[in-house]
Amino acid sequence: MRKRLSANVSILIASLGLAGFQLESRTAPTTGTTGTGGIFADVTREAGLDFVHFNGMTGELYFAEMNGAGVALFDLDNDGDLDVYLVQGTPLGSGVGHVSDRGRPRTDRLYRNDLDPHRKDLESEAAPGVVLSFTDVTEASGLSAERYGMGVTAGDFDNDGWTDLYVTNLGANQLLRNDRDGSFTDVTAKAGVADEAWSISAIFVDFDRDGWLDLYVTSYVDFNLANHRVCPAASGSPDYCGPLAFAAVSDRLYRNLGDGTFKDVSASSGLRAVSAAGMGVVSGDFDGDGWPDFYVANDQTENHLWLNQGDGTFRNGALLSATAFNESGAPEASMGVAAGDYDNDGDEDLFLTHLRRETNTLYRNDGSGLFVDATRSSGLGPPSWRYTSFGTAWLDFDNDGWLDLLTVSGSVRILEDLARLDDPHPLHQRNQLFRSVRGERFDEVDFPAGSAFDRSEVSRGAAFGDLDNDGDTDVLITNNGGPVRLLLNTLGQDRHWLGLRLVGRDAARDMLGAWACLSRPGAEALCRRARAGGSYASSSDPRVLFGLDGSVAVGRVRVEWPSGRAETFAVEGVDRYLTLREGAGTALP
Amino acid sequence: MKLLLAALVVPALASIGSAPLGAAPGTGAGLEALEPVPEARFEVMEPAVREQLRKARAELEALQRNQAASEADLVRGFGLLGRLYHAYDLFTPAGACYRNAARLDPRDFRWPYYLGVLHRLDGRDGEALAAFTTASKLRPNHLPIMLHLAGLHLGNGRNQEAARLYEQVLASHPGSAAAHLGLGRISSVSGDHAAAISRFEKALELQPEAGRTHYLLGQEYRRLGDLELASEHLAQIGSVGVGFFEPLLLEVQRLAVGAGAALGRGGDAQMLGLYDIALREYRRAVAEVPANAAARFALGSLLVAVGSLDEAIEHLREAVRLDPDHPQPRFLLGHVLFQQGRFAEAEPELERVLESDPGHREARMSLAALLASTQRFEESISLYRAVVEADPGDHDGRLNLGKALVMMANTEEGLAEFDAVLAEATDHATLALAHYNRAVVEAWQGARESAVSSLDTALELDSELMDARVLVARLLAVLGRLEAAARQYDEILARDPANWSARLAGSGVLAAAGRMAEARARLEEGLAVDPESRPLALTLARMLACGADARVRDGAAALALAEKLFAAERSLENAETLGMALAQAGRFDQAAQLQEELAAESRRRGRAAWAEHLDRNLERYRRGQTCRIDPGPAPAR
Repeated sequence: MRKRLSANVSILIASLGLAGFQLESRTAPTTGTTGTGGIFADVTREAGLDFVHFNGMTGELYFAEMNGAGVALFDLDNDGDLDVYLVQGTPLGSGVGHVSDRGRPRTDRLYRNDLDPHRKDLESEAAPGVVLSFTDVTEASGLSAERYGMGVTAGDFDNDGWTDLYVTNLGANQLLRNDRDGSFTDVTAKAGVADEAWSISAIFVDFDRDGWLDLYVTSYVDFNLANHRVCPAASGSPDYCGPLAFAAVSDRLYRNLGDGTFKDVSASSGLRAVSAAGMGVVSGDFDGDGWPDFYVANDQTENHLWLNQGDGTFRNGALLSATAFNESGAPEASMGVAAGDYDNDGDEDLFLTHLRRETNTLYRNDGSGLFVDATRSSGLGPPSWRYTSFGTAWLDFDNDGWLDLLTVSGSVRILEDLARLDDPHPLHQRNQLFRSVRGERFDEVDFPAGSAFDRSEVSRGAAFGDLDNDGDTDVLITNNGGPVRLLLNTLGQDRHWLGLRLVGRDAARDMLGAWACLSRPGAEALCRRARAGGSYASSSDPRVLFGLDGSVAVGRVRVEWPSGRAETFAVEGVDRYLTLREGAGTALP
Repeated sequence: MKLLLAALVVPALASIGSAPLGAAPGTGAGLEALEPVPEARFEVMEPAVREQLRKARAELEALQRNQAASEADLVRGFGLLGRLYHAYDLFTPAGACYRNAARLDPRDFRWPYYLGVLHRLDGRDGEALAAFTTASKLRPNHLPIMLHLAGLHLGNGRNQEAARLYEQVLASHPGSAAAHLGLGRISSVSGDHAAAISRFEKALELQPEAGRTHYLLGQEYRRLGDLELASEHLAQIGSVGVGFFEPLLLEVQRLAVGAGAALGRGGDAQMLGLYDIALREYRRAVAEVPANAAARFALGSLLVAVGSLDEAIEHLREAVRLDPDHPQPRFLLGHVLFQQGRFAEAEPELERVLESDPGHREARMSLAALLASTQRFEESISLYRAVVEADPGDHDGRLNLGKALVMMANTEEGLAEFDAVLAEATDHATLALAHYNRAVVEAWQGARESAVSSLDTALELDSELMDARVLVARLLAVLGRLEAAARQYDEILARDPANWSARLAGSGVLAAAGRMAEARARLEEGLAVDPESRPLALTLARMLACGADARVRDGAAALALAEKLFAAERSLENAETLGMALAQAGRFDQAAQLQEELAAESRRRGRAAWAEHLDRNLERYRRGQTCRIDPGPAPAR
């Protein structure tokens, strides 16, 4: 049965065997209410990001082949700009053994950002004034990530001031230590974080507040090539299975012992008590007790809100907090997740991306860790119904002080209307941008035909960060079986902003989890968390970016560090990045 | 008219001769507006589905060619083809058919209704609203249309319009749970949580099977600050949501043929806990395509779940034969055979699963348990070790490894595994099991007080761990702590009144504690639960005949029970009991005569010890004395 090659399968095979095969982008009709035109410019090609994801598709409809892959934005060389790590697939099953990608090994790729504001020769035509340029430094870095990749997260696990990487795979994961000279060493075995389960997302968080970044890894389902199966559609046509066709696997939590090794505390922390098809994960202090919690987006089963008890254990508070199910009490196929204070009330709210014929879901936090499903009242429900969305983030793309939303999409079941037209990869959909209207509702931004958001692709990962350091949030989107897309924000920098890098006192690393609130005269404070994780299988800019709209008046910044210490810092001037070091501010009780 | 004929022109994959085919019937106006019906991908469909669609399409084409065909015939043709496409989730051609049907007969509400359903599923809320509005004008007060309209308004934040429609629904259909639920959601958004609760409770009363309503109730109580009631409802959440009956959609579903459709319907029913329907659909799928391994596996799996193991094995064997490389059917087959005690058949199946999928943890655990059951502890330990090595946090694996080690007399290592779980685990059920396992070892080692302490801890963590409760009750009785033992037996019986062994033991403990009346009451309660229980009847009859406390004796009642027992089974034990009862009833001569015969019979059978035991009461009967309990040297039958 498995070997049968139907016409449907042959359509999918059309994308196989074409090394470097690049899907043409399709255009799709747009809907929406807000016309804004060129907010984002696609500068992928000009910037030199020539990565094309390989999903290993053979026509067998392997479950794993339509789930990858992610991307990380991180500063690999401490030169102040964001570099790019892209996760790659490999052949699956009886797939062709050809692993070359235009003469290079088909592995995860590392691109160095050569941002130089003085290099006018690198200026982008699509975005005049932008001088982004990337160089593929994979081979020079000594990276060896050749497994079937899913996701990646970035964090300085050894507190040496250099950001390391953790790559999730279908099979054993990899911890890649940054050797401070542009190269990486695979230290997985020594660290004890291989995790043979199929992992999707991971995040570094100092959950026990001991000064060392711990590691949370979402485990998806017990799929492998041996238990592969096809799940027919209603007409009997072969299609991909969903997660319920396989046994769920519980997530993993590794505690950093500070000596280069981790201890698997999944069981002792309480996480092992439940199994679910984990996809996205984000950390934040959702109940306001000062301890970092985890929120996990599970596919077609209830989501988990792991509330940190402060003693090394976690309690799942999703049910009582109203974040386990949707408003009707139904589990949804949660993929990506974002946490952020979209209504500027000083706590973190949650947004989840879901399957087609489900809405994406917005949970508004009342400040105590209890949430209300605000999907309907925010207007975010109906526009998402037609899309299967994965990567997502809260981002203030127009720097007006209110967090907007971006979702990237691509189906996981064959879209019949596309297949009927002999589409070679009949899963593609377009991505969406939602503008916040003062944190009360969201309007989908209507992009003109031909714009970056008019493309229809099979998007999965999305990482967010200020790649050109001009004070607004750019986006890097990965496409399953397609090229990466670098969307440069050409709007945000026209408004005022303030960027913060929050670094530790003892360890000169990004203090992931630090919570910064900027007071503003005559306006509500803006609170943002230094965070790399979230979205789907991806890792974003750990810096905090405040959009200030037209205001240049800012007050003080209050920072709650992961250690529990709180300080205030006086800030002067806007439209620039500042580095705030723990211990250098005025301590608060 | 040519445009009408063009309605079935298909794009690239036309395979049934659907080009324009000459003249059409001489029908009325509006035909120029008919649209082409795109074709589906026949080549990937199940044969039964393909044939069904091709036939319907060919019949419609024939109608179009038939000059004598009426417009009503065409409407029926487009309507049927549309519903067929709809049944297979092929919404684009289905929509085209419905639109054509609607243009040909704009007075029939069904076509805009079906279009509304398709648009709503596709997230085209504006078009869905327009379609349902049209349908509602053609068929006012049609419940599904009104509820769809209200749902669309609700989903788009138009709460006032939604509320008006829900109220309208309740005016004509006061039993609509969906309308109450919708009004509850609107009340919730407006902050009137008490009103929301009232609506949700009404919805739950009308559709008690809709367990998701508990989630909504839980959230409302939480918002009111009543965490106790909130938790109570949240603990009752089910997987079924409030729904409403749509007969027209049922018609669509019933049109679907093929194993895939039946499997889909079965899967939906199974998810909702509707096992009878799921079984019927899976059987239909097997009947449609007997060589469909997925259908066999689905049916076999559900049969396992409902306990029909013999039939399950039959289908699982067939699933394995059809798809020998798939580990799941083979694993389930092996696991069920093992559970049935068919070890020799189960073992090779589980081994083959591990050959094809060495990481199959459940197969490894099952095989390890099988090996332990057949006293092959070393092999069992090896497999459990592999589970634990693959995942040191696998507490179930560790507990089983510990048990196997203990069985191999490697008590120290076994206890170390239990202790590892105690150090790592956080969930109460696992911790309780670890304490229980520890207690079993302590009891074996004679450390009874320590075992009792471990069992107390286990029961604090998981009060429903019956094995622990039974063991602690026994140990307490052995330790002479009869009151505490009696309390434990009471706890067991409160949870499982039909547990006759706990009832007997509990009654014995009460009797030993001198609480004979309560001991008798326990047995009588047990017989009320299970009047056919012979162990209970026998014990009660003997207590009524020979109880140490004269107040519990009752010759007549003892005799009634003893006679019933003896009539059911003429064993020596029952005959002896009958003699006891006769003596207690004052019929000493008969008691003595029976006892003499019994003793003689025992001697004839070479059971001299038992005969001597009978002689002791025989002497009492001859003296006109009632019996006394003497358990005798061995069971006598």
